[in-house]
Amino acid sequence: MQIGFSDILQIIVGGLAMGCVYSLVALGYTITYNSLRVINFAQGDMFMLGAVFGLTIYLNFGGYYFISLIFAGLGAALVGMIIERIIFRTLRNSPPLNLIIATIGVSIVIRALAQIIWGSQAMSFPPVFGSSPVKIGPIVIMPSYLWIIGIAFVSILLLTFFFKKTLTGKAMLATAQHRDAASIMGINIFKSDSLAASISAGLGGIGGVLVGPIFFVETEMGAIAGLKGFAAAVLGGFGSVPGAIVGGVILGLAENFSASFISSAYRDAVAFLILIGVLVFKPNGILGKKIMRV
Amino acid sequence: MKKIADLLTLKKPSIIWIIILVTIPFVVKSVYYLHLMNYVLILIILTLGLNLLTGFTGQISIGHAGFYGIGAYVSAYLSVTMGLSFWIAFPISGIITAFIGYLIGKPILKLKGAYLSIASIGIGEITRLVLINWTKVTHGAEGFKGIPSPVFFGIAIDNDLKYYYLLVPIVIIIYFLINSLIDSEAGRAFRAIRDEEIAAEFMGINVAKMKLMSFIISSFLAGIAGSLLAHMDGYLSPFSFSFTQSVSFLMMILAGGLGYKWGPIIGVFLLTFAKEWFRFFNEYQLIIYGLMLVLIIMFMPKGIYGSFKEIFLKLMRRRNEDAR
Repeated sequence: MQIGFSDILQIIVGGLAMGCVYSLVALGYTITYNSLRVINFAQGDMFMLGAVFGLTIYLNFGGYYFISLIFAGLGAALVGMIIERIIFRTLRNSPPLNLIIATIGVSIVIRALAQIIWGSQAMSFPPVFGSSPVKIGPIVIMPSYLWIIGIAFVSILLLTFFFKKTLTGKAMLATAQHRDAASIMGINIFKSDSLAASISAGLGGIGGVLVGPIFFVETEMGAIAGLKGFAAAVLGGFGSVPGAIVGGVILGLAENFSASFISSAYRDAVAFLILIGVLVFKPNGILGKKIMRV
Repeated sequence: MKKIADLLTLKKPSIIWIIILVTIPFVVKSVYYLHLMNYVLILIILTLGLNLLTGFTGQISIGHAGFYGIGAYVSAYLSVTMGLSFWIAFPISGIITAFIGYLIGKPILKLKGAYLSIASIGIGEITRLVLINWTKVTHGAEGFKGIPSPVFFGIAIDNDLKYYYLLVPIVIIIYFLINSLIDSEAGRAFRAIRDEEIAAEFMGINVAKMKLMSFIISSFLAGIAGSLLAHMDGYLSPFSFSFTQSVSFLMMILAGGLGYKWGPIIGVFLLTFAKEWFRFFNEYQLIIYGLMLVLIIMFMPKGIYGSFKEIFLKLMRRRNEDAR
């Protein structure tokens, strides 16, 4: 197969789009981990919840994609907040394995509930971004890819603004750095925890709504998305916010390139090979700090 | 040596348990429950190994379904494609899985805590993808069919009752071997590593070697458990060796009592039968199963065995105080 320059550009755009989605999921893991020291294995299910919420809102309330995007994100955030309140706060001082298993238990419950509500059939989003490809110079791109990249970019910008410029965001960063000191300074650390969990879940939810129009929406979609978001977070350096973004993008690109050049059967294996390679040879990831190897 | 002597003479409570195990098929007439019992016994072999690794050595693995799958497929390949007998395929599948465990464990055991658990997820997922896509050897997504039943001196072990009596001695032997290992010097080293790795190193324990040993033993046991599963069902689907499966193994030892000798046994019994009984709730089955796990972890962090043991010890202490 002859692969030209425009094909490569196309692969890059597709990889970037998926990479942005992985970045959103990875950011969810990172923010939860930084604030709560929990690896939340229900993060992938927030992604699934976002997609099914988004689809339901889109189909029942007049078909405005952006409204369903926002409300699906908020819905997932609410679920994240509830999980934090009930599970994480109770298990604050448990050993890590117990926490991991508890989040997996939560994930089982959410997935089973979603299956009862939405059924196990794959549902499809109407082509909200238009189904005809656009031509930009020599390359032909599906408009949905551009939308995904754009929306993910805006979400990340808003998030950065929130953490850098608002008092609440700064309070959250302080809590993540040193809980006791933050508490003495008059920061409500429980509010910070709650917000961290809901922001993480909301980001995952937005990721789910974004891929909705490209893939099928089903209640099992969270498992693989969750693991890949995780791989992205580790690749970038677990606990690092820029690392999560970079890791997601690199993972998306690597996946798309290997699917095009090597074999699409092992497309999903790329994420895990990268994951193990990074963990063994460079456990701090690309942008992680040294202290992360606990 | 004393342990081996104990094993040969069999202490009293052990004899009672062995008698109970042997007589179960006379009480439980239902084929369905006997089949479940066989699953339970196979899973006990696997979780005894996982408990050694996670409960006693403190190394989390969320990829043991991968080793289970490797053992099952190696055994299936050896007996179907190469035409070997079960009695050869069974130990070889364990040895090959242990060797793969050595190759994987050597690099990833350098990682600690959550990082190790993440790497092990990756190992499990890659194994699953290889089982699905390496069609030439594994028959891919359609599954591996026609795995023969073991033949024991001319008797085909082809129904659940016969298979039960094949499994019982294997489980008993492995249970005693694992327990004597835990009580030995190596077992104390494992626990020292779990409790405080740096201190263990200062005490002269070769931490890397002991961790690797624990990992190899647990992958060997997962491998032979897989082999037993393959020859019991006669059919393997690559989709059953999933992340969810790996998690359920961990849930079993955690619910039973992590780092207790009896933990995996109780956990496997409880979760296997609970899952079956909850079928009664149809689509709510998984919700109840998930909730049960979360509740056990929230309110019984030491697992069922650990919590009851603690209550029992507290009662005993109080009675002793009263007597005084």
